[in-house]
Amino acid sequence: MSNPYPPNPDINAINPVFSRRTFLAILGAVILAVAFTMLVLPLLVPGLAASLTSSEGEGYWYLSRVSGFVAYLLLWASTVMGLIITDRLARLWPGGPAAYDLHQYFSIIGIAFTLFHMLILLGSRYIGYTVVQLFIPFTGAQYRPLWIGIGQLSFYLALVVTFTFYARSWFGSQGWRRLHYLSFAFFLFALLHSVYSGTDTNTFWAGPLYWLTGGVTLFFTVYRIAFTRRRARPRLTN
Amino acid sequence: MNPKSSRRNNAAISGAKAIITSASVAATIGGWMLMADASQGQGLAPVPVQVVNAQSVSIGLPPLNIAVPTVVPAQDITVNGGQTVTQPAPQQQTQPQVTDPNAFGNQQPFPFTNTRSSR
Repeated sequence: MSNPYPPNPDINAINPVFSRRTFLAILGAVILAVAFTMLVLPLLVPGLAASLTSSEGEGYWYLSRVSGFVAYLLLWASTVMGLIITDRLARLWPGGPAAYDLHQYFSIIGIAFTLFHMLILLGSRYIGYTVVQLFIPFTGAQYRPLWIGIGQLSFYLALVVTFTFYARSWFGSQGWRRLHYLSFAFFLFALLHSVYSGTDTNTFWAGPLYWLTGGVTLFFTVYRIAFTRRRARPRLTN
Repeated sequence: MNPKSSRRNNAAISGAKAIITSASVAATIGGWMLMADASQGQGLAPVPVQVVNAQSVSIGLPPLNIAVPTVVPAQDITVNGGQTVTQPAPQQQTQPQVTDPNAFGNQQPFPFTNTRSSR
């Protein structure tokens, strides 16, 4: 039986996750979702519209908090997917190519939700960030500037790690892999940002969520280091 | 991998992506609804309360009731015969004159009380 996953898979042979048709389908879905949110939901749930039109715009603040959690979970899933690809645990589930595909998809949709998490804050008069404060790390003094800045750095690291996939021929396979190690810093920063700047950290569900996601990532990281050492040993003896 | 299996695999991945996207959007909107609802419950819609099985409970000593007279300013008084005695308007109070008995001019001559004849 031939091994479907060669020891050094050719990164350049992997196609980008989005074809033109997929991109147009996602764009259409986003437009439909926005139209549904803006037109139908206020009729179904009047409280939602009220939360957006209130004097302080609490609705924007709620949306930012919720989308922050969703973005964190998506980017965590991407990180774990990347680890199980290199650990070869992806052979068990969901399979190598599927894992690559989902790894990229989780990253891109995670970045989209992170952007939403940031930009929606512009509508909130409660926190009052400007565009400059949103995009330049450590410039917003309104609320826990250190941990917000760490989150902003995490966003840029995620951008670098994700979008260099499309320019991997410039960096070369080895250079691109090294750049991809920034994923560890990215996840650590995202976790710290979530724990120390999140207003829900002390709730009964958010704390265990951080412990679980952090613990799973640590487990797969340790497993990966052990796996890499075990693979390297026979080479040294030969 | 044969083409049929590959096609099935692609369909499964596309389905997984659709589920991931829908779940993420649904979680965001659902979370927003929950937070907006919780906020309304806290600030705008106070929950009515009702006291059930209320009992009067006395603890310790019974309450002490002391009749305290109420003092009100006197009004006009009607006496027998229909005459009305109005309260006199308050007059300017004069301070009592205090004189120093030892002051000059106030001294009285010392009375002679010698009743015996001295011989």
